[in-house]
Amino acid sequence: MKQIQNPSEKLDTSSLLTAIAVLALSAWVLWESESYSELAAAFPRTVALIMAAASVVLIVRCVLRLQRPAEVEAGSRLHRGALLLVLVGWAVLIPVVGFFLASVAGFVASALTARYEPWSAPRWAGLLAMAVAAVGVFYGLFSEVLRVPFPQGWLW
Amino acid sequence: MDILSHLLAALSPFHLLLAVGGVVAGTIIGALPGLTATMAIAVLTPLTFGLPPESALVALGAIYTGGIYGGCYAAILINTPGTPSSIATTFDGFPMAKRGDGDLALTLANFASVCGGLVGALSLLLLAPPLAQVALAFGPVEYFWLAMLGLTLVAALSEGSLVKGIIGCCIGLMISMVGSAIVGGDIRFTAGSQALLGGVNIVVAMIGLFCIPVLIELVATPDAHLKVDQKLRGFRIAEAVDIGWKGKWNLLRSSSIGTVIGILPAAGGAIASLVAYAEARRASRTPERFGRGEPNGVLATEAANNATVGAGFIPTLTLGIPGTPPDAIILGALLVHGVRTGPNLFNEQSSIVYTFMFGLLVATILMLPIGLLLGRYAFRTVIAVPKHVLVPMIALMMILGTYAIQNSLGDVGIMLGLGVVAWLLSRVGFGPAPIVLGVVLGPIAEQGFVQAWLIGGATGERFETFFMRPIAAAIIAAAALILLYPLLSKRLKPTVTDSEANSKSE
Repeated sequence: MKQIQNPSEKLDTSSLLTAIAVLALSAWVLWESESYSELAAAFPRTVALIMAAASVVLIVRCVLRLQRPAEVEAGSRLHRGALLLVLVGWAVLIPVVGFFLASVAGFVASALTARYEPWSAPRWAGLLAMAVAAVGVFYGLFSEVLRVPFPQGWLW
Repeated sequence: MDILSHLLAALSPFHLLLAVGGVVAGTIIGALPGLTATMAIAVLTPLTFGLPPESALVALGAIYTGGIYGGCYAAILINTPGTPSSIATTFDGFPMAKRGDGDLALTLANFASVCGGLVGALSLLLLAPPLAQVALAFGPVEYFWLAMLGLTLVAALSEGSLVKGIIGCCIGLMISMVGSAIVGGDIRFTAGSQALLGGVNIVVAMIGLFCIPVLIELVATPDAHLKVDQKLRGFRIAEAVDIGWKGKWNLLRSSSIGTVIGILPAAGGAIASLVAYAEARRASRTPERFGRGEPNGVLATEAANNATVGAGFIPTLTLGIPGTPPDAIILGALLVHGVRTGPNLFNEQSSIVYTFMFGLLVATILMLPIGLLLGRYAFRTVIAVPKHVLVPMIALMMILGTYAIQNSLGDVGIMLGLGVVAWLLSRVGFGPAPIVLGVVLGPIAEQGFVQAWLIGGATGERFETFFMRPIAAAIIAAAALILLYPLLSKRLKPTVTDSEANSKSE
């Protein structure tokens, strides 16, 4: 399901704000490149100038109501936000509790964010078993066969 | 007779077994986001040390070709390129899958990969010494313009707004500049972070930019991930053959582009498929369909990236200069086996070289049935698996694959950060494709530009250096054609219509 706003009636605020942020980024790149050698600064400066020019064009288009707002996919903000938190938590937990446990927890939590129906006890058990099996197989493959050294953390 | 004996050696049961095993292993590894063809070869190369040199080469060639092909599965089914070579396959492959043609897209990708692989392998077999000279003719200026040619694709990848596409591409170029400067060694845009000192790895960026937005949108609704018909329609071979036959010139052109770019050291499958995609779109009568599930887009990118496999071996074997990162690993394996690459290789160790070349051809042909079977299995798995299983599996592969690239948790953080930014930008109408285009082409463009600038400055002929070299001029012309063709064709169309109208009235 798509929600399309009428471009002629409403200012494309999100594009305008993004363009201003990109313009600020270009200014930062130009300022930062002042401290680099000529060779190292040439390419970033060129790209920053193009990026600044493009963002000015976008700002003008937004102000003149010429910029059509992007089509936004409908859906649950709660589920999206929950998944983002789970992914960040997963990465943060790895050095603390070790790769295996963090990944089992992350696997279960990310499965919950994708589920819209209520969970029964057997389903919980099945999910946990699947998480341990999937993480165990890949963890074993990477650590034993491919010799990838994983962070252990203070648990495992 | 010698050639026949080499062909028979490649067709021995042992070599056939190695080819089948290599293609299967390579395809599976290539299909998993984060595990690239380079990684597959690096990991499996030690297993070949106990084999005779020609057998080891057959196995490595099969893993390589399977790895490049396998990247299309994730690109088509979950909009995440399994390898950098399949970045451009997402542009039309995933829209095809979303509208219910995932099975057809996989079969087309298989046909195109086999076709491109055969062109690349035949070029290696028949034209290796003369084609190797092409690699030597490419200097920094030509690389710079080749990257510029790839960047013209931003016009095709900008979904609805060219300005946003240009900004996205510039953001990608900025990401590629983070870390140590290619020329000069200055530390740039790291904001004091040690994790950014080595720069942003292309695969890490690719996983974050493509995979995170897909994952976030997957959980947003309880609807099915891909649209599928009630009745599964098999391999849809007849339909794919028909599309492939109609797109035969596209296949041939894309395979040739893949072969030429594959010969160039450090260019590789990602650039080959991007350039082939741009050219296919330019040559198409319906360019507006590209990016919305056009089968010819899938044909172009998959033919081009698999053509780089055989072509990449041309400078590796004839000059000792690896064409792609997997070629560099295979070159190392060759040295371990006592094979000395160079112009004399074809005379002094012809049995090894020709058995390998025929072995690569055989492995490419074997990819047809193996790829169709594995593709069918992958398709059924992705459409049958419920979201609450698919999402954590993708997330696990994403984090595991990103970490394993450099054994770095910093890379996991970079991947997540880029993914969140890409998702936020996608909500405002900035697609991930132009950003990835900038990330992939940025280092080549910058290195070529700065080196050419230095050479031009030293000789006092900057303008001549950049614009007057024959190959550079040809690439500039091709880039101009890609950019200006839509405008020219629009101006020419009314004229044609008028003349047609006149002739009809007469």
